[in-house]
Amino acid sequence: MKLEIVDLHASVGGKKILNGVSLVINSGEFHVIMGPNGSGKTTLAKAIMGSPEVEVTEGRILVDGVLINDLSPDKRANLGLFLQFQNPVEIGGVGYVNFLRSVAEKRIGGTVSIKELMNEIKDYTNKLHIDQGIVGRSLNEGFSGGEKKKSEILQMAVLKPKIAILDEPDSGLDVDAVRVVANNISEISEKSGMGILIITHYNRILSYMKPQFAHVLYNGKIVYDGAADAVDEIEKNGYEKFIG
Amino acid sequence: MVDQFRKEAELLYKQLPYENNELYKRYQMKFDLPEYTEEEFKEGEEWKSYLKRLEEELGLKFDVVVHNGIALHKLSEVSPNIRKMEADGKSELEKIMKRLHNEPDKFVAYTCSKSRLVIDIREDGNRTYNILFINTSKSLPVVFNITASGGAKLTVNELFVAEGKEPIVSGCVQNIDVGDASYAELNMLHLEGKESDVFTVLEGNVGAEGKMATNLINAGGNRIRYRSSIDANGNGGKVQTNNIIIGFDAQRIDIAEKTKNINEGTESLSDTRAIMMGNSAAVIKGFSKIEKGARRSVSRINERGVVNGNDAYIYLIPDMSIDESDVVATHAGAAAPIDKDEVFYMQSRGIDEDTARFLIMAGFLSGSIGRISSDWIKSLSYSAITERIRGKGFGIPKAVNISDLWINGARR
Repeated sequence: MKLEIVDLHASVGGKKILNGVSLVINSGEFHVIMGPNGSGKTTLAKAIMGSPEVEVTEGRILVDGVLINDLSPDKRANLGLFLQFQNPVEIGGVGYVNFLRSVAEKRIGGTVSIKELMNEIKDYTNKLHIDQGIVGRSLNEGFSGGEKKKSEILQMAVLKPKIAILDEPDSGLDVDAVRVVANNISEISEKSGMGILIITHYNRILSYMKPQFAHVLYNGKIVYDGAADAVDEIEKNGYEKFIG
Repeated sequence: MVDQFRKEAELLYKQLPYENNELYKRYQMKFDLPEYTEEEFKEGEEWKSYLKRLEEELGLKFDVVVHNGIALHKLSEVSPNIRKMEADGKSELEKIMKRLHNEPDKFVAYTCSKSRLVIDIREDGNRTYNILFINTSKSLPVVFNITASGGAKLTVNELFVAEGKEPIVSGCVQNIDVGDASYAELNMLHLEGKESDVFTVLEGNVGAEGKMATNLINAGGNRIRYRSSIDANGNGGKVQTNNIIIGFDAQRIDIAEKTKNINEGTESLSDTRAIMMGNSAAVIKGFSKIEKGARRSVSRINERGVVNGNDAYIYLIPDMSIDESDVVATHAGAAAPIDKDEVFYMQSRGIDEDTARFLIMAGFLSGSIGRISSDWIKSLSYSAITERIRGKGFGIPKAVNISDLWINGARR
């Protein structure tokens, strides 16, 4: 899968946030996007996924050359896109496992074996160090901050997207949890060959992963496109060199 | 004689402070009952095939069937603890009026003056009664007296259905008395057709260390009017009311529920969840009173509504009156459209918008449905509610199934 973002302009609540972002991500590639607070990283992630909150005013989003600007979020997801939310909403009464099963069945257009699904979930709850109890609960309801982040990664593992956008998977996690989450993201992406676009403020999570490309977003524009070494530069000296 | 009862009842009705409260009066649904003559009521035969199909579908036998307000089974064959009584006119009227704690309704008077039928359950063991109310034409309201005593654990499951060629008023008056250290659960599932108005009056009293739970599920009918008044009377007595409302089309729903903590260590928990669709409208009034002397009591009212329709409307009025200081009391009401972030979250996983909205609404009610102990009422409630949310018809759902949404919500 090839995701192309071409000269994307977008607003939220009438305020212009993205001012011409262009980016290309292929399955199997690992990109990191960084930028100061308010630079438009989350808006970009939401725009790619088709959030109704974000109004795309100009530019194109393409999947394998097909324009998806007008596709609903579910259709984008069924093409193979996945968004890990920074703050996933709690949805009471909707069982975690049933939700995942419904989604997985929608993706394959058939029936998913509950036994196989449960085994897969159990496998990843162990790997992600999540209390098995979350599978018996409602979707994200009452989850701790760490459980929410890990649960998003668990969903990604089960749904096997072609390109995943991870919006701050490390924020609010303790040092051990960051390592666990990073290792799992790496393992899942290597196993499935998915493309990753990770949004983060810190290089700690990246020390456990091997991003190939780095991008710096500032004032709604990509101001750096290049090698992942930029991450170390940002950690040492901040964004000055890029936004000068 | 009948006219005399009615005049007396109407006079009492006008004098009552509760129904004359300005706030409540403002949102009172006008509900004039039709004038029937007793000659109009016939047992008929049409209920038999309906009953057969329903029992097959649900895999159970109803203990009592009440057709158009007439009990059809020989109740003594069901259990020696259940019997049919003839109300003796005025004294019965006065008794019910008194027990309704000065909150009678005109309907009570009509019930007593016309029906004179009282089904009396006095249970002191562990027992479940399944009761079906079928109305296929004009129906007589039914009076139920339910008494659980001597440590009894009593469950009464009531299914109300009504389908007819003309508008029907489906009415029921229930008086429930839970004795010391006894337990009663009353599950009322309303699946009346769209031509039916539903009128329910419930009065309850709980003794020391006793517990009474009511689950009202409204997933049918045209106009709904529900009045309940339950007292946690004896020390440590507990009351839990659970109202699940689904409004659709042009339904009008008027619910007023009152609980009272009278003695020490009593508990009254009232929870209402409503989903309003189409151009339906509901007013939910919950009132809790903690009386002087009810120390260490707990009272909570929680009313929540989801509005899923441009013309739908819900007004929540949780209210409390507290005359004791050493208590825990909370009341809350919140209504909102479906959260767009929740819909987007689900869509981002590949669920289409309609399904996402359905799952959110079903999930909103699933916890409340999960509180019902009877499996068949729970299953039927869930099936009916999900069909209503999907915009399907009235009455008994074609396929009754237990969705595992709430099973995996770990609320069983």
